[in-house]
Amino acid sequence: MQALLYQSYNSGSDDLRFLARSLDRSEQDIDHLLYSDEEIPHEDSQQIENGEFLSDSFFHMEDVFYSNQWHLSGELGDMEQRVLDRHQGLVEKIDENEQVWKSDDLRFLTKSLNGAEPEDQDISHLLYSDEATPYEDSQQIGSDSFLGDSFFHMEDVFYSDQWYSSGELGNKEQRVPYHQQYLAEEFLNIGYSEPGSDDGLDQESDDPLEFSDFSAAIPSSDSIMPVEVSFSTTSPPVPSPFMEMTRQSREWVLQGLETLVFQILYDLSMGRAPSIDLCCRSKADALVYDEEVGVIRRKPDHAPGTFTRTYRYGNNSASSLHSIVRIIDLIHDNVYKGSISTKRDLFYREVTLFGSQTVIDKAVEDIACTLRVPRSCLNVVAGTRSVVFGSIRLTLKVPGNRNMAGSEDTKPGKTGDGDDSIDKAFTQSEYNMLMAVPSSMDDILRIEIHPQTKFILVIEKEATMNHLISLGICASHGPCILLTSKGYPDMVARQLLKLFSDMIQTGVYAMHLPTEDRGKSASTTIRSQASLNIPILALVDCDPHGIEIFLTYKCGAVLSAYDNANLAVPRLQCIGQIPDDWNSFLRGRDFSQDQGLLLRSSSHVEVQFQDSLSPLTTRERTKLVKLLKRHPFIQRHKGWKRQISKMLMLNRKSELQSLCMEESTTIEEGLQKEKHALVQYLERKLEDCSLWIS
Amino acid sequence: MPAQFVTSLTKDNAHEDGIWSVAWSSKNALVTGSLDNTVKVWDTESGELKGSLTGHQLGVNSVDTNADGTWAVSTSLDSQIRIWDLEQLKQHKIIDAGAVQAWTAKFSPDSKHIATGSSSGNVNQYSVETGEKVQSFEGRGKFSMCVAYSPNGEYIACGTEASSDSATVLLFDVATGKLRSTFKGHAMTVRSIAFSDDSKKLVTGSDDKRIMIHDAVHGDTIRTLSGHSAWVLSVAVSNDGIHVASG
Repeated sequence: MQALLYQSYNSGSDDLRFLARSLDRSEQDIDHLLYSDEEIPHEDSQQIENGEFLSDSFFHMEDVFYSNQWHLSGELGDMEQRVLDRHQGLVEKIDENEQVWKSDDLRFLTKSLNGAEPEDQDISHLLYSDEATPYEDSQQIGSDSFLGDSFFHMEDVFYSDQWYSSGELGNKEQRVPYHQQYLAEEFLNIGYSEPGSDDGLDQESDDPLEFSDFSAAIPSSDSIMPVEVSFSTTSPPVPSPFMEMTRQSREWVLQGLETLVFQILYDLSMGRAPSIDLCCRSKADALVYDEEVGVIRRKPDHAPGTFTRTYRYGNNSASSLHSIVRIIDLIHDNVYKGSISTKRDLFYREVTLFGSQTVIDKAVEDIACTLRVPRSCLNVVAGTRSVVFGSIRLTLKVPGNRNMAGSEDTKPGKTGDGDDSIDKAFTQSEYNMLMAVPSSMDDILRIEIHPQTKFILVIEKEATMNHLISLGICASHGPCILLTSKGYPDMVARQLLKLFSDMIQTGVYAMHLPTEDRGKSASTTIRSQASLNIPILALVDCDPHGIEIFLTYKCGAVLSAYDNANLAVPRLQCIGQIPDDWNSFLRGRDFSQDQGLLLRSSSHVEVQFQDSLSPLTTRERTKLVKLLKRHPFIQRHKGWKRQISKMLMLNRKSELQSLCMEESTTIEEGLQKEKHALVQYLERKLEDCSLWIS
Repeated sequence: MPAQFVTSLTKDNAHEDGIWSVAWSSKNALVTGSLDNTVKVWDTESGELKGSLTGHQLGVNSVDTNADGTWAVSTSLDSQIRIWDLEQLKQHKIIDAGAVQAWTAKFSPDSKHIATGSSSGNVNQYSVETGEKVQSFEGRGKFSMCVAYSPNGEYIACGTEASSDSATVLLFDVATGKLRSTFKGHAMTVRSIAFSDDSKKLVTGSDDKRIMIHDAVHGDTIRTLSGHSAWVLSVAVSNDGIHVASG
């Protein structure tokens, strides 16, 4: 808004004084425009001087917007330039005969505020947000009435999807009456993703024939707001009971970010303290447990403003409005230029403002949730710590050699050598190579799983994984894939596991991953006849953290509920370690011949194991009780309830490391060296499917 | 010669899930608490179910009855204490102790109070009528896993979770609220504790497979018994003060 007013006025001000100048030629009844809620004594407006009006008026507010503490306009500084460039680019593409909604509507606004037209009462209708005005008035104002319409209705217009959609309608808007905009066909083509549309992410719609729809709607390169919305041809779209996330194009993301900022400017123009509403991911009533699939999801926003948190200017919380705006600016910058940064990197750009890393983490995820896109669309990644090993081959892009922008990039001077550069720069891993999983799924070009893989094992601790590898588990127990995320899983590990799960379900064992650059046509797959029967198993410690890690992989984390459709793996089963495994150790020597025993226990292993059963701390007990009481998955699965209750009763936890202790005495006795305890344990568990808990 | 013990009554599928505690009541009733969130009252003559008391949200980990068999108290994993009226078979009171603050509960001999162990080590005493916390005995910071009143109502003893080398048994004086003596003999967690009827001896069973008998009055340990091959989860003293049963 600001930038386009610059176009109109060529004023060089770097803050919001432009608005003052635009109004300075108007008479004192302009104060009616800005003080819709407040009574202002008339003499204040008499003291109007050139360019000072707005500053006077804001002195009546609690906060002084023009003081040096108001960084907001500074934070928006660079963004203006980019918005300007972007709209330059957009304007060029639009037919010159049609009016561009933004600049024209705002030109209209400023023109009318100049008092050039005798439309005072219409102006007040424009700017009074609290007055209900009949619809007919908008027709009188003129064809470029978009902004007038928006300002008619309550500020909910801003939040609701109507705002987004009417923004994206752009040049079509004049021809279509406001209340019919929803149904306009053009509307559907330009970016609004209807809830319930087939975005290829639901497991139900996983049609093997259209494999290229497998990961997300891929933007095509020709239209301006290029997002394809595909409706399933068999039945009309049903509103999904969950919030859907789809990958959107760069343009869409930039548009969304700008809209968030416009909200602030709107507030300012109304003379209110600015605020931003972002989705709050931690509100408990926003979450719903999907029974069929077993995944924690987020409810869609039925009414504007549900499940959101408002960041107001002046609220001195850890994440203030300033931080949010700065983060939006940084993300806008990244998406515009096509560069990817980590969350840490974003933090270091403005350390004193942010204060701590958690501010960034929260804000980025909240923005992703608000815009309904996965976090990767914001070009923010997290440093990855996941590692994969086994009968899998990955083809990765070489970092640093990324294609800088998608094919719809409008920046002049960019050479269009999109397609070739990818093929030249990649690394290929081999089977049984310990690979670090890249920080973003976009870096993976191709995945191949060996069709004779016996199982995929997700391990909690890296130490356990190293132990297993050194014991030669992949050689002795068949080709297998080991994955660890060294604790709580990061997003990429979960996405990767989900990808494995989907591949197995559909019987594909090698595929190219479609990316933005390459589009659908480049994906090829190799598939087997039937679905591959590879179980996905988890090996976690027998403590509250282990159980939570298992649940995060399986149903998704609470804070990432908005994206859990892409992250949760319901097929995951737990093979250990569970409290029932302790039975053999707790029964005593007389029962060592019992079938329930999981190892041929020599006595000192038993003793060592008993020593390694450590008591739970109070925090861990609280966590377990919370899991029992509130976690929807646990509440529905008696087996898990029993295991957790047992852990509470005995007040003990144990780790897989307890099985990793060496048995040195057997060698001295000349006996054949027994298999290592961990291997034995794993073997026993793998053989017997009934011991697994899902 | 030890007498032969014969199973007089077996009830299959008494509860839907594991049974974790039982308590006799003097009116020929048996109270059982289970993981399926219920407390059931059985008639000991016939083995019939007298009533099923529901209301707990998580599994029940301990039950106890008072001296005349009119009340029962049960605690569940979420530290809710519920007092039940056994005659009318309905709930009398709920006491919410805080997230992990009530573990096992026992009636005092005069049936006026309930003592519970807690994960912070304190033994809390609640009044049966009002449900308010009456007194709190300061422990040593380790989870007090088991609690027992002495039959004369003067002492409360609790056994604790193990610290690095040993577990303690604490003996408190009810009237003054002070710690009377500490018994440090056990190497591992003390899971159960019982007084003898004359309130002179205290029997404790622990994970280190030993049972120890202490002198409550003088504060020293009398004997240690071994023979179990695994954790000792419960002990009880017979009325004549001669036999101790353990499991």
